[in-house]
Amino acid sequence: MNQTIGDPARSPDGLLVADRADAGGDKAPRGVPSMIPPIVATVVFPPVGLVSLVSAIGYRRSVREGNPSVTQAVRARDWATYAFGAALTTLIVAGIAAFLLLNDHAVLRAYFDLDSLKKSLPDIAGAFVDNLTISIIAEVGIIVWALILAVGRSMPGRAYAPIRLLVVGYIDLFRALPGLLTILLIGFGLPATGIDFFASMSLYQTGAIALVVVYGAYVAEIFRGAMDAIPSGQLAAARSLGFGYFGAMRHIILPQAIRSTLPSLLNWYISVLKDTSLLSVLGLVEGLTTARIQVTFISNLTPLVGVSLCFLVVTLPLSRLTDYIIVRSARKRQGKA
Amino acid sequence: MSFVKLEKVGKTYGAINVLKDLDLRVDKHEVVCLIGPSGCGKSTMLRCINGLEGIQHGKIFIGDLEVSSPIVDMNAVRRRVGMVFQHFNLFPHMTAIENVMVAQRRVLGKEKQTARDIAFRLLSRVGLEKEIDKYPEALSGGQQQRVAIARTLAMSPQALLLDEITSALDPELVGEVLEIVRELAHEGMTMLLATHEMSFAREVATRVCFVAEGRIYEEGPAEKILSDPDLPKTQAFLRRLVESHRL
Repeated sequence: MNQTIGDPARSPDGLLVADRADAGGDKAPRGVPSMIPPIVATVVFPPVGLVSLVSAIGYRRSVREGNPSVTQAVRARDWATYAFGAALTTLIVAGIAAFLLLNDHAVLRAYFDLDSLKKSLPDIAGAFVDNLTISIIAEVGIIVWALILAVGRSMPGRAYAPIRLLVVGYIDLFRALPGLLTILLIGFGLPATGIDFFASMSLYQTGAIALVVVYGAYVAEIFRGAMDAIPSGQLAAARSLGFGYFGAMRHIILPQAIRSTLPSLLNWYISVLKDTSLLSVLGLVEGLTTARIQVTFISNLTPLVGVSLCFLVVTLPLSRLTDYIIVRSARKRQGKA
Repeated sequence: MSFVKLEKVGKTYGAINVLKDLDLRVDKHEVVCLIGPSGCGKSTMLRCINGLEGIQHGKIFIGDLEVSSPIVDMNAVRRRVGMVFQHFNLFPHMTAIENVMVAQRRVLGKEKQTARDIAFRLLSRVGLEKEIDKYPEALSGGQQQRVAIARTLAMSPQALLLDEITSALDPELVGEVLEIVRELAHEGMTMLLATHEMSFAREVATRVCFVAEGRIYEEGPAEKILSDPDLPKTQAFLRRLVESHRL
């Protein structure tokens, strides 16, 4: 397959010849690496397919003999599924690998140049610490602010109607605006007020406030949903024991609501962390900005992959943790834990 | 002197009259059973007495306090009158003993150790001294309801409102809960209970009230109301119970 790419390179076609000359310094024997994906596919798939075929034939035979075996049927079905899964996986993996190796590894080099990665990663990781710090501080603020909003929104009675209205307006407004816009409004707006307290704030502080304002609105809705999902008997029981409304909220309702929202909160934290990169519009040189600066210096996209790795190191384990918590709490509800 | 007193109480949900000119008195140390078909207003009556629901007409007194007054401190009232619910309503995020401790600590402001000692004594009393650290989901319905009773008793209430506390239980678990109510009755606790357990009502009630049409339709000693009622609706209700083998 690679021969067909390699052969025309010797033709007088200028572009391809240049391409070949470019890759001339590559000491690896050309043609072999791009053969790897098809080879792997060829090696992996047939054994699985073979077992699948054999068990299917075995089952057909036992049916023909008028003595179908359930074990055999189940095994044939299972192996058919494995064969399909193996084929699909091989196809996808081989496709990705082939794409990376296309055009004489140009794709691979554009994204995964190890030298560029080694050079750029320390700076990027250093700047990424800012993303982490801001996101963690913002997350604490978001949870507190969202709890206040959620309680405000569910306060009972006619007397609190204006407060409910205010909260609903706030939540609707900041969920309706693009987060970037709010960040610009707050990030540039607060210092521009001329009020000493705001004007003296660092980019970190205004950035964190902007994230709290935006994400507080989303997370408040999560809390409200969780509070609504708590059976009304809980509030009745708390009130009947003499708890006031806010006491019942604080000691009985909110602890349950927060527990049930833990997976959502982790998911939203991942969003917050990712959106700290938006703060670059305020002039904050965080991880992603650092990576972009490096990209323009070395004319290679690898620094972007570097900052991706930084994000992934934090977000992927959090995603897994979220799933684990969901599964565990489901099991606990069913009384198996 | 009557401890709980309802005077011409009226309550509506939209266009539906749930309670109409309802009068009721419960004296100290009395055990009054409310019986009647589902939806007759028994539970609503209990919830109104505890201020969990508002009323549109009439007055409700607990002791010398008018609890239907808009300026009364309901939280103080609720501390005097405990309530136990059909579906237990235990706090699922707390262990049994924490359920019994939380209001003592957060409402009455007791020290942790004091609250714990009281909680342990009450849980032992309802026979759950071995289950104190279990979460409600790990307890049977009967055990949960016994924790709920202990939780209410921890506030040292002067009267108890029991809202069909055995109707969500499997039949074999009803006895352990009623046993506790029986003991409380013998100790002289003032109780108002909505119930479907007629034999139990016959045993502990000083008075039985048949509720229908949003008011007390007929009342009297348990023996009289449950065996030989005067009024047609009470008779019809009891006949249906006999037919469904609940009496």
